[in-house]
Amino acid sequence: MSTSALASVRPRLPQRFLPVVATVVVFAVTFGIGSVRYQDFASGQVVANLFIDNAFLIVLAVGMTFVILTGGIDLSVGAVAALSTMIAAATLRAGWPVLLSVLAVLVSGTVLGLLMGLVIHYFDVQPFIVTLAGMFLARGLCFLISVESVSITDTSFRDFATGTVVLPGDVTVTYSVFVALAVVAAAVYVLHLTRFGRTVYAVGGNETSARLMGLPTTRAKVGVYAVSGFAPPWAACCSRCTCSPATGCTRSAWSWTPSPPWSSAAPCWPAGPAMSPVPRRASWSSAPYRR
Amino acid sequence: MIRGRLLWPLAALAGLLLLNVVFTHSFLELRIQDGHLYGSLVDILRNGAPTMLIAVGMTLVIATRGIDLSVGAVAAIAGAIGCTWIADGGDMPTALLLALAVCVLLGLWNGFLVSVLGIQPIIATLVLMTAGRGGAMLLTEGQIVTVESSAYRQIGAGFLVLPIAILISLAVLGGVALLTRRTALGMLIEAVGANPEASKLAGVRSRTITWTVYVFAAFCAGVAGLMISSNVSAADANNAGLWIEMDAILAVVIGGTSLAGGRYSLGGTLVGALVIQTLTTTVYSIGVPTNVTLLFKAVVVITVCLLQSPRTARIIGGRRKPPATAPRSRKVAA
Repeated sequence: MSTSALASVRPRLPQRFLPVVATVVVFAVTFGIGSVRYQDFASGQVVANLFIDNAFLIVLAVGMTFVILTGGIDLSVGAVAALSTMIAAATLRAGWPVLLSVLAVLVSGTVLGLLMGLVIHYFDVQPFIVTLAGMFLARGLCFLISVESVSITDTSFRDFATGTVVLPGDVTVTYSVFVALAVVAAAVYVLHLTRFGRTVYAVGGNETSARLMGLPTTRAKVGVYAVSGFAPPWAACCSRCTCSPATGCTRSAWSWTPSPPWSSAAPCWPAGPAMSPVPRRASWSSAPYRR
Repeated sequence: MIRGRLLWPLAALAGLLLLNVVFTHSFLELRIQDGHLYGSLVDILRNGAPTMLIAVGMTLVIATRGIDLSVGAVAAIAGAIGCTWIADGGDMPTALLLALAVCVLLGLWNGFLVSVLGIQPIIATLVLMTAGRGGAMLLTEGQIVTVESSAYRQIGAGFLVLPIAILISLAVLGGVALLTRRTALGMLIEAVGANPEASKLAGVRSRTITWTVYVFAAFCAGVAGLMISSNVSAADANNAGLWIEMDAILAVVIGGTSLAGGRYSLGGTLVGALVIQTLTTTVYSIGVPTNVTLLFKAVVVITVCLLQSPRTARIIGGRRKPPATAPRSRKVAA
């Protein structure tokens, strides 16, 4: 649904973007207050730090956006990100080559997401419950791998974690910012310019209509959870850069923050596409759950 | 239909109890000492009372197609208020009244956000979930407040043959069951959950009903918070009722209430809460290594949910023949 087409039909555009506008205003006001109260607050580096510190959150939120667009939810992303770091650390310690280790992490996250998607779609169990169980499962697997924190001593990982780039204007950023921005760009491309992305929107709008139109709704519904499982490894790789660059990331560094699933889902809700993209009045559990 | 849905949760409960008996032969034994009933089963009831109480409130919220994530934080606030009031020399009835009044106010806030401002329930209650523990921390000044009040201790740890906590939970459950199933209230709640617009047009005061269920959920959370803090005679703003919203939601769902709203089963919630608590107790009693506890929980939860799924029922029932009805019912389900 192109926005310009909608605008020409009805002046509905402002309402659709109201949440985003509100979020931008809140951000601008908070940033403004900070700039007034503290010296040197309004600098490029502070903005860059926002990206550096929140790179992993950006990546997780992008994955979550796919799921929420279909009317689902994925509570497991935080736990899957933790599992990713654990798998990376454990496989590297076992002497795997870096590329193989990265591959293992990406595959495990995606497979876990895919499994959850299959259960949600084929067994018709509510996403909230399936991904909650997925969260328990991923956290449990973390413990199974090791109860202790595992350090990553591999040099290429450390180089990636500690490496910085100086942008014009004397702003220093880590590689994780580029990873996060690349993920956002890829998601924009997939959601807006591919068949899969358009089907995701269609499923969120009205699953039954989408299916009757002949769209591959199953692929979209299951696929979004695979995407959401594919994202945490990248997020983990971003967080590794921020949490403890010297020794590499340990699981305990951030995975046990009280509520990773919520904090990673939250960015999608106020600003993003809302739980049900097309019918605005529907509540978050509208079409996909109805019995 | 509900009866059929209760089959698997009950089977899971029986299976867990059986597992316990295999590992601990005396698991089902009950004995009376000092007029109190003792035994592992009683422990399950006592420790499961707060979850059950919160799950009852959650059932009504979920029946209106909502969800309340703030119950854990509200429970922590209730405990903090109760304990700080008593620790500062106040008397117990005032402490209880004050704690529950604040919880009702918090419920009014949640209900206001959802029913008047129309914010998605998961977001509206997320506000209090994150902010509430901060409030409880302020009340306790970051300390664990301990109290020495035997009267206060009765709520969570007292006995009238059975633990008082479970008697409170069952009384609330029974009261809600009577109130909603013997009057039209239950049907109205389900109507709001099934289709808020249609029910409003049909003359149901859906805003009032939605608002009320959030207030009731917060009230239940408040009582549960008092139970939790009374059980250990202390208020721990950080850990009291931590993750209890998840347990309560799981209990409700395992009991066969759909998160899509529109129908609910209080009996199912009772069984669901017992399954969740038995699961926790089982982990300790059969000595599941702590590092696979979560795996164990995940496997049980997902198994029960899969067994409950209509598709599994079809596969087990072997009714693959009539394609005219089966796919249609699935479409409605999806």
